[in-house]
Amino acid sequence: MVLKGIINILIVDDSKEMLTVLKDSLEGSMRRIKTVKNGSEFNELDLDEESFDVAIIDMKLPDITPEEIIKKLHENEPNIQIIIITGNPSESNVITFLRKGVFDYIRKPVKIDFLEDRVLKAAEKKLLLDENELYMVQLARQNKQLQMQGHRLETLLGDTAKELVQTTEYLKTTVRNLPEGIILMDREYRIKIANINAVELLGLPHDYREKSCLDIYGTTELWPYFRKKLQTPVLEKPLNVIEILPNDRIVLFEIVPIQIDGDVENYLAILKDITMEHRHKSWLEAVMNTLVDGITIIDRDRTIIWMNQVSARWSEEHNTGVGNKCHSWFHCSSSPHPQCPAEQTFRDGKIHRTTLREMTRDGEERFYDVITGAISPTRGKVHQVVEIRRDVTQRARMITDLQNAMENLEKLNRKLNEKIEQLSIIAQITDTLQSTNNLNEILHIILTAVTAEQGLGFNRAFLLLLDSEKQYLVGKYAIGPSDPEEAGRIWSELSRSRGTLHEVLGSYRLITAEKNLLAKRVVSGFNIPIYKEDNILIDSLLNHKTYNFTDKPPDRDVSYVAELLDSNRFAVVPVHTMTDNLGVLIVDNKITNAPITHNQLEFLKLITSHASLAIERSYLGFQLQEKYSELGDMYNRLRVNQKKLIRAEKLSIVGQMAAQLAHEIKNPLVSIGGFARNLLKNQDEMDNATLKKLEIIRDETSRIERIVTDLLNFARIQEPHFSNVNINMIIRKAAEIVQVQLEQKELNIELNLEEDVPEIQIDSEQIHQVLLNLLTNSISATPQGGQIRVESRTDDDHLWIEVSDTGPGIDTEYQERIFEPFFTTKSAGTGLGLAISSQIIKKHHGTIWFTSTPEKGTVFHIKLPLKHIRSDEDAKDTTG
Amino acid sequence: MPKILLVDDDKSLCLLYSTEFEAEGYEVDIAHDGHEAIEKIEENDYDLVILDIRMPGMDGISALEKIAVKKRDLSVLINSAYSNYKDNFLTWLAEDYIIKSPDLDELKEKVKTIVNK
Repeated sequence: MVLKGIINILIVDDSKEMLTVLKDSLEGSMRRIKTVKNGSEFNELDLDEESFDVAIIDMKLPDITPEEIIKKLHENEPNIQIIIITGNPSESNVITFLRKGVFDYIRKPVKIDFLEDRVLKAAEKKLLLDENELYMVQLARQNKQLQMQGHRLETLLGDTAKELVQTTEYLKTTVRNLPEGIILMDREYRIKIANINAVELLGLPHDYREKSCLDIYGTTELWPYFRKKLQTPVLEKPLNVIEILPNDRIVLFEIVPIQIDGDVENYLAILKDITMEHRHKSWLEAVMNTLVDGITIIDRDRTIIWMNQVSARWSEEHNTGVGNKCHSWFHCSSSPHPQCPAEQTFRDGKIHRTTLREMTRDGEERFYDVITGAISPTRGKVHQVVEIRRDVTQRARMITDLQNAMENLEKLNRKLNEKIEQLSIIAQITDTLQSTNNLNEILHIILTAVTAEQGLGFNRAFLLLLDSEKQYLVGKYAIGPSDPEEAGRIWSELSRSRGTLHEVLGSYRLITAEKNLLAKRVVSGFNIPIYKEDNILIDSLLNHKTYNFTDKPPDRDVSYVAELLDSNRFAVVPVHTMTDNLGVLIVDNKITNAPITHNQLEFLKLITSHASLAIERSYLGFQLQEKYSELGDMYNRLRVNQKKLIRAEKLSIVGQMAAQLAHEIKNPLVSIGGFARNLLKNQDEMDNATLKKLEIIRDETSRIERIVTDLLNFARIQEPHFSNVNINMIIRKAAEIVQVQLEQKELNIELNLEEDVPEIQIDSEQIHQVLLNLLTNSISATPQGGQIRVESRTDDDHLWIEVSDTGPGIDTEYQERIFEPFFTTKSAGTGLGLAISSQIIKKHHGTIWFTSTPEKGTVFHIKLPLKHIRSDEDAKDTTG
Repeated sequence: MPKILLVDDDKSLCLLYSTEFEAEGYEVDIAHDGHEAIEKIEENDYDLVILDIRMPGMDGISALEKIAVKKRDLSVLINSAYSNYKDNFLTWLAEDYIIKSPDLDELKEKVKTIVNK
């Protein structure tokens, strides 16, 4: 160790020489030496001012002990090193001094080299001690600081630990209560922590802690993808997997690697039960895909992020366009169109709609209704747009069709209006034509109609007719101005007194050949023999051809006509009926020079044909008159028949009323007749006159009763009740009933009945009544002693019955009426017998009639079908 | 003495019939419509009912139906101006059906036959 700085040395010795020697030998640079000879000098030293590193002290001093010096020096400088010089060092003294902190001792005579070495050593020690002391002080200071810092740290650590415990608790609670399932795994996928949701969701076993996820699920075939991902040695990126668990829950796994110092230490798995969301999504997708509309969702950068199947189907490839740019997918365009409704929605967030027309690759034109709307825009900014597209091609086509149809309709309507106008003209002409049968008037009307502005409006018209021998076509009438001046006059006059065509037709004066210059010149020029078939007018007449000559040079020679008309432009129309050629009509527009259109000509033909009819009508007028009188006769006959019919109807009503009346009469009739009979029981008490009167009352009521009964029978002839009957039996029965009457009049009856007559389906009672009526009539008609004959016979289809008498026959004037009800020739008859009989036979589908010869007698014939004809009534009886 | 109930709305007829039948030795009771007839039948025992059909209130056919239910053994003779009611099968409940006539012989004969049966 090299000592730096000055070494302060104190030498205490009572020997002067010694002092000098020591001082001289130790003297040197960097050494300051103080010498003291005795105790008193030593005591004079100001030790506070003067400090010493090494003190060399002689053992034997006269006035002071070395102990006192050492003590004093130590008090001021504890580190001072002391060297004792002694001539006779006893062992005990040396040890004592060494024990009291003396550095060393040196024996006399002092060897200088040794001394110097010891002094340096002592100085060295002193320095070390001083430094040590300094260090100690510094150390203590530092220690103190450390102690203070330690204390502060202690306080700080205590708070942090508490916070840590709280945070851990808080975290635990949070993790437990999170709606998500949370699993913390180490890098071998061993489960460290799992919250209750994770346990329940995955159905983890109770001892899941420290078990590997792969062990828990490794043996099953579940989650193949999930497992594959987990088995990759180290998962460094977050992993999202959607899994359908065996319990049908759908779970979203979000596995996040947790890195510490750049190494993956743990995995955090967050499990989210998205069953409902997933279902809702599926439902929504199902709904979306069921719609007829195509739905597309577009991101802000115009990328399609979702589309339903309908929308996908509209693409050429029938693929989903997700991931593609909207404009390129739908329109094969490199940038969005500013008018695109989606673009507009992106700009303003509002709903936009439009109809798009697109061509498919096959060249088919398709139309779409497109509606776009913003999906939850935030702060006015639209992030996504939904586009709903509907294929309205069908509708668009229908609209186009409709528009075409409308146009056609419009055209038709115009045509119709034209036709209506023409019809109106025709109607007015026809109407006027109908007012006359006079040929002259008819021709007048036609020419007026052709030239009137309200009519066809031709400038001039000329009518040529066949002469009565049908040999020449002759000019008859003309109408129209002869020059522009006259035209102006006439037309301005006409426009002032503008009336309807109808009025014009009535007032326009016919300018005949005699009265008009033009007419005279032109009309009188036409006189063409019929055999000139090459003449244009004869051709038109005979072959019913229409000609319209324009400026175009004609292919026929018309110079003859053109010369007469002084015009190359004219039209010729034949005038004819179905059977007759009448003439031709020539029209032109000489004054106005207007062309004659095809339509005008067609219309002219139409008018002409109407006119022809009128002309023909005038010809037919006479014939009509004849037919009319025939019709009159027929009408009269019809009226007679109608009267009969009305009478028959009246009779039916009368019959019904009569029946009602008859019933009403019946009760009083019974009373009157009954009382008359009652009174007649006491004849003895009456005079003859009274008796007679009572008898009259009785007989008359009987007569009324008969009439009433007949009336009632007639009013309700019932539907026959058919059964199989032998007609001969009925004839015989009827003959039996009238036996008394026959005998009274002494009449003979002959029954000429066919043997083995077949049974016939009839109502026996009704037919019996008929026979009775006929027999009664015959009896009353036949004079005394006469003959009555009844005959029956059959042929293949019919049964014939004849009842004949030898009476006077039926008067011709009565013959028509004898089957009418209430018609009678007998004073006591009701006039209903034959009417009833006729009704009954009718209901049997048979016929009844008579033949009568005056003075010889009358035969009534009945013809009944052998095979029963079923009427509707019978059918009802059997079916219902 | 046989007891007859005569049902008819015509008062003259009732007088005629009662005169005639009382003379023949019957006791005659009169009702003018179906209701009255039913009441009388419930209160009295008759040998025969002569029944008209067309009457105001309850008509003869309805009355006949009620009589058939209430007094099954009571004989009824229909005496009507109308023949068409014969078509109504309910009239078959009656012993006989005759058409009104000033000549009462047929009626008397039928009454006699029924009462003596």
